[in-house]
Amino acid sequence: MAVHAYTSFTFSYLNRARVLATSLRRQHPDWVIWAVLTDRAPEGFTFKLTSEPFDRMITVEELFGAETERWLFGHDIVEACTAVKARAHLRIMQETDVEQIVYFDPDIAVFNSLEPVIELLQSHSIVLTPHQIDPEPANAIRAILDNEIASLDYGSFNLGFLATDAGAEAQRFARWWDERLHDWCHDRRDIGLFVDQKWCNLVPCFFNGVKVLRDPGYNVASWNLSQRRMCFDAEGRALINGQLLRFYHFTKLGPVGETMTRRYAGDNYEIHELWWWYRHEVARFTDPAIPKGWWYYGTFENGDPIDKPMRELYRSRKDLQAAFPEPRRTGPGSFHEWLQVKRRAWA
Amino acid sequence: MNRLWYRILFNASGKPRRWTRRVVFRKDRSVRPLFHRLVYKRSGVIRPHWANWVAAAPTDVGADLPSAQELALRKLRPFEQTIANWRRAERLPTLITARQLIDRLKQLGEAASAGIVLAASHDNYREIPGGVQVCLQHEERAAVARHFAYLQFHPAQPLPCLAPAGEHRDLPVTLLLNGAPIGTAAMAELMAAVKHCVSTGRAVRFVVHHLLGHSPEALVELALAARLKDVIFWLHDFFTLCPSFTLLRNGLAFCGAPDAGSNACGICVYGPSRREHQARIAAFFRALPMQVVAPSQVTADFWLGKAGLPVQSVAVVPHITLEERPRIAPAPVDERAPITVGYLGAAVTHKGWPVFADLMTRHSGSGTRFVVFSSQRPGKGEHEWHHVHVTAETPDAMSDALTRARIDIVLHWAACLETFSFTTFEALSAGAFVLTNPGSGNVQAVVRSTGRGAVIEDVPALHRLFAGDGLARLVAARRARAAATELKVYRSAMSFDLPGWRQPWPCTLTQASPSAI
Repeated sequence: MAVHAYTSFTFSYLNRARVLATSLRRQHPDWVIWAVLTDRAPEGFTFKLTSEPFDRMITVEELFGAETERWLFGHDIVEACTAVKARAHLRIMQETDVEQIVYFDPDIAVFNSLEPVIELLQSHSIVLTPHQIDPEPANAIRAILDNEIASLDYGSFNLGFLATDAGAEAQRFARWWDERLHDWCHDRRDIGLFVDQKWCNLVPCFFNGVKVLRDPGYNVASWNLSQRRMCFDAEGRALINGQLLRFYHFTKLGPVGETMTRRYAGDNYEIHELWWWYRHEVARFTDPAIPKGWWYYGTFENGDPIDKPMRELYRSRKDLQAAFPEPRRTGPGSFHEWLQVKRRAWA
Repeated sequence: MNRLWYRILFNASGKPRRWTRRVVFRKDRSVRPLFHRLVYKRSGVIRPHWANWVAAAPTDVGADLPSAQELALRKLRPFEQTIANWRRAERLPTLITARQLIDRLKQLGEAASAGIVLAASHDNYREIPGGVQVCLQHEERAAVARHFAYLQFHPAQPLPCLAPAGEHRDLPVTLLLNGAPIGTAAMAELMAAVKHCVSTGRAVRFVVHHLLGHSPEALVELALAARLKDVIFWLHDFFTLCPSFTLLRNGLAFCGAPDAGSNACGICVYGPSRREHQARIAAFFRALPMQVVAPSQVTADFWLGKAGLPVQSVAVVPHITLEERPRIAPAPVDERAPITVGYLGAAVTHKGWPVFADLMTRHSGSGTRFVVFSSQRPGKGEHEWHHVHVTAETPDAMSDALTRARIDIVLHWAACLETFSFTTFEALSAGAFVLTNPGSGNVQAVVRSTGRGAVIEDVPALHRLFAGDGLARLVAARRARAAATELKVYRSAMSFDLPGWRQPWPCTLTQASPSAI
């Protein structure tokens, strides 16, 4: 029996996924690591599993079959990569040797053993990590806005990490999650929805055996740095509030992530060192053959970008879905042409 | 604050006006020294009017500006890139042969009748300033005085790491004979020359001061060619443990040399190269009978606890020892003289410059004078700067400058474990007290053993000392002690202070038991 881990990404995030898989492999060489790809390789680049730190891969086409293109058209890149997670989870559950399944966002790096999570799954079905585990002080207005109110908006638990066993309750959860994500994995905070994450606020209500892991060493990120401090002990072990750093979530690599990290890490320069290391690891694993921001499903066949309003329009109208079953196609009679005609008319 | 001043400095919404921001604050939002008293109370607490701006509004989080450490990290490059940047494109000079080298040694005649001391180090100790370089200058003098030829060699291509493994016999090294440059030779030619000297009955001794840029494999061959019974290995720093010889993780914080597989090494710029570095150092120590010499007990203890390398013995030979003597007549004391705090050496982070600069900013308006002694002017608000360059010819240049400037306190806030710290001894010999932290290695050990200064727990405690009357009391104690006593300085002859080296050749060190450490 084995632990199966997976991550969901497009080729523009392959560098990050490689950092994740390499760091995970270092801690758990016996785990089976899956790459869940919601993308097709750009011209000039070949994804060879044997040269990658992943053991297996599965594509969105394999998970969603004939409806893939039509279904994906209704999602932007974040929605798409999160919407496939539940279907992939169910798929991996079908493996004969599977005992536990762990999901990681590709922008995570693992620093110490995750064996405690596997031990928790001996007595629990589902393990979730909250964005925050300690309340902000009442006078910390910006921190309350940035962290606690953001969690009310985006979800209590961070779905960059999820672990389940392969038992009946976990399967019941995965089936429910898959149903919701198939139809409702959207960034619609106006109706209280944020991709796959907000749904999981309901997990402790709907399912038994849910463990809310309140260990500061898990899922450390800018949204909880206000209450977490990193240091190294004499043995060189990375500690968060005195507990081993298990994994760090390097969310928003770039100016936004830098600003939020700076705001909450402050003089905790070990966090900045961690980021320095991550930036260079990502650079090391970056393949120049992959164009920046590449996503096969991000454009029409002729290369025109698919805007968010186009996606929202398509997914909201059954008539359009029926009329244009291949929405990425361009040319006469295509959804692309229909949009151009409409645009001219509105203008 | 006076209402008029308030309206000049702040706008109607209570925020500092643009000119206020420019005049009062630096770009990094730290307060300029002149305005520090305006912004901070004497206790170090921010005055309420300024709180929102100084701490960034709202006050619950820090400013969204990069910290000094973050800025330092921005300059940090992957180690392989740093190594590549070190490599010079210029062509090597014409290499000298073994024959030419032998002839140069022969020309010394009786002046080298006692034999040859081979000294490996990392640079030209006659040109480059620094503590290790001064050590070699002293050792060279001791060797020449004892009729040894002092043949120092350093890599022709300086590197921040060991020379690449493989082509070690071709590695070019630049040679200094009794301090005079005599050219550049391939290691193989140096080996051949040494082999010839040994075959003609010349005694050869081998001292390794530094391995930076060297090929340890080549040094093993050289030692074997010299048929040495022992090799003296000086622990000037911790390059034997990591390419980061100060053991500063990412150049920021002392790491204590944890296991190479640790998280700390995993995220450190030196981490990826450390395993190979350690393996080559271990092979070097296994291949040769090493007599390790540390300049302080604290260095010997730390190194023995971390290195795990085979050695014949470990000895402690301080570069300087001090002897306190009562003055025949007490020196006059000017109790009204302002408290003067000094910083010695280059303005670098791991020597505590940012802490000194912060002290200057916060406390320079309170009557305390801040003076810097270095070869380059920092120009960051110090009251005085004195150009000082210490060499073997002018070993007292620093302590003389400190005495002239009537320095009460020297701040040596090292971020790493100092193996010796010349500046600490220079400060003490000038009658100054030293303020340091518990992690400063030999600095804190010397301060504790002499009682001349104080070991302060952390930076906030240091600021409390300056803000309260602790500093004044310490200075009063220092002035009283300086009036009653003086310190006699004894300088080491380096390897020639080792028991076996004090006697006529041939001799070898006796194997030391652990209790001898």
